[in-house]
Amino acid sequence: MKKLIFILLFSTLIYSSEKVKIKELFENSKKYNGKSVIIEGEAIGEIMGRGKEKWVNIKDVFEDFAIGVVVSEKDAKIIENLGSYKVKGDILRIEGIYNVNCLKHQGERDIHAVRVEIVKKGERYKEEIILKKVILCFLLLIITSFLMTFAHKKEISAKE
Amino acid sequence: MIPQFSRDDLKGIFHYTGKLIILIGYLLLFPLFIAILYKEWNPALDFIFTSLFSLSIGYLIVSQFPESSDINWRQGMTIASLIWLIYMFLGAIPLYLSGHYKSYMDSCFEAMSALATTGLVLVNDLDHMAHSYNFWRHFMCFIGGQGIILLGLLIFFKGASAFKIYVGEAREEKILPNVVQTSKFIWIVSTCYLIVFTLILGFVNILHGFSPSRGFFHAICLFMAGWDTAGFAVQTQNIVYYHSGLVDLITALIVILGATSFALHYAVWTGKFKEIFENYEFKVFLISIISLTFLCFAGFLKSVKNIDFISGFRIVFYQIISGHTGVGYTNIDPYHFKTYWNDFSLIILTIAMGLGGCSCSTSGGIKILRIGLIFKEIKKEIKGYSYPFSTVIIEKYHHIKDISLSDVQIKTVAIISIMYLVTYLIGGIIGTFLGYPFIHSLFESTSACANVGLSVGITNPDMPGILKITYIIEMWIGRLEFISIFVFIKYLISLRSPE
Repeated sequence: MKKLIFILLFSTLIYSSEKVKIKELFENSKKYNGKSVIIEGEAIGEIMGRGKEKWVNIKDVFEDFAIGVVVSEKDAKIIENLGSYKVKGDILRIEGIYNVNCLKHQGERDIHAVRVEIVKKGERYKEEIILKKVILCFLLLIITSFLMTFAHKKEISAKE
Repeated sequence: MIPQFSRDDLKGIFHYTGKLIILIGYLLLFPLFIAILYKEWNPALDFIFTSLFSLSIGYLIVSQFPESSDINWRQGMTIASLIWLIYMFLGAIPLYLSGHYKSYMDSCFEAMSALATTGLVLVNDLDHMAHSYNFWRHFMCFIGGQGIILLGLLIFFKGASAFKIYVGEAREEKILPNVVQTSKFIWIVSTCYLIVFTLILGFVNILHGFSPSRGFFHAICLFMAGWDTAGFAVQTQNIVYYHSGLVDLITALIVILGATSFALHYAVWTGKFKEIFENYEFKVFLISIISLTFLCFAGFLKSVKNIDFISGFRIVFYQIISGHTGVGYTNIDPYHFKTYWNDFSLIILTIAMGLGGCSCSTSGGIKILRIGLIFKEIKKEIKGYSYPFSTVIIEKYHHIKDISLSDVQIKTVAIISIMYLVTYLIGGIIGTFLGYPFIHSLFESTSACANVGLSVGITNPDMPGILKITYIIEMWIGRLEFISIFVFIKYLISLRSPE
């Protein structure tokens, strides 16, 4: 019986969660404050730890909006790639309670995750060196060396 | 008769400008080192290109104007104004090449914001930016906050020329008898704090879960942007990214130290601890922070419901410290201001930004010493009416030594303060003309001109170009405190009209 109630409550929570863009959470914060929401975004930077609670910053894939999400240690472990230079972070789908001024976390705007899943695995990519840049730098090096010598000679003759 | 600029002035101006351009060529080797360290090869090539390009221009100019004679006041001020624009154009090149900016104008905006230690940003997708580009953004804050000229003083300028160009960069105080020694002291203090706080913040970051390499990278960047009251951060979310009260606390301490006069730092470093309690400027600074925090907090609690006292105080105190010191670090987002802060709290924060930090610090704005002196003058005037007409009233204040308030000093203070207020207002009016609410426009304009960097969201890559140019000019003139830029403009006009 208890299990049934739990399943019913849980499914109600899922049903009542609304999928929103992170930008929407900032623009219409009063509307979503304290409610269950679903967001999708890239895990970026690092996972920061506070005992069993971990912070993951989730960034919208297309826009410069990011939000801190509090996840459990277990959920944090599923994240393998965190977005940075040359790394595309895992795209996560997070369901949780949105707080504009979280009382538990000194007034921070955050989401307390209930469910975390990976929608798309991130990846590391290699940097390709652009040959044109190498040639340009080499030519500029020759010009600079010439000008440097010329300027030094001129300065010495001016002092004399 | 007003002395006209002669074309002979050009020789000195171009010679030293060329030298300072060479300097940025060498400064670009620092981010190049970071690029090599993190194996970022394309960014490394961008830094090599920009460095060589700067060196070529610099050496070309020096070869045409090889004589290094003493410079006069006009030349000093013109060099100071001109070099900041040139550094903006050159410093923006690697940023533009990074592909994180919509246009070259946006990267120029960001470069000026870094150099003038403002902290307003137009960068896209900062979270995926290469370490070396990100380091360059923060390193520009460090160069600009310390002063381009101040760095040049260590290398190029000697004798009487040194002081003339030193003043051009909005610094009047000589901490030591010689400006070159003063410059050395400022660099020594800054380097010591850099080492100490990079270690502290680095270890805190590691404790929070950062890798050592990323932890110390974040630490050095946060220090450079905090100490020089710029407010740039490594990630899009600014200080929010760390979700840590401890990081808030350490960065607040760094920015207060950065906004404190180097003259006071010198007194403390030489064992005169009493100066902390006696220094008039520092006392006014603390009183102002406390009273503005109280007022802002009262307004904040009125508009923000469902927040506990500690959390509310953490938010308000950090914004006031950030605004008052001119750093622009924030532990909330622009939408928090827009949605939850009432006009009263925003006006109080705008006032804090407008006032700025201490004189002879890395901070912008009107500066606290000037505000303190205006209050002293008001007190003097009131006293004047209370005593017999023939009474001579002398008002004194303690700033390293006891100083009597003079009419000349008050005149200068009043002129500069008025110019700041007018510029804040002009920027606010332009923003309003372009369709933004007046309070928000005034907030953003004050933030740009006082070199703060807090934003209510107006500053973004899609804002009108005219507003970007307005803020670039505001940041430039705000950093150099008007006079040297007026001299520079007069110089340009005099070149067009023969004597």
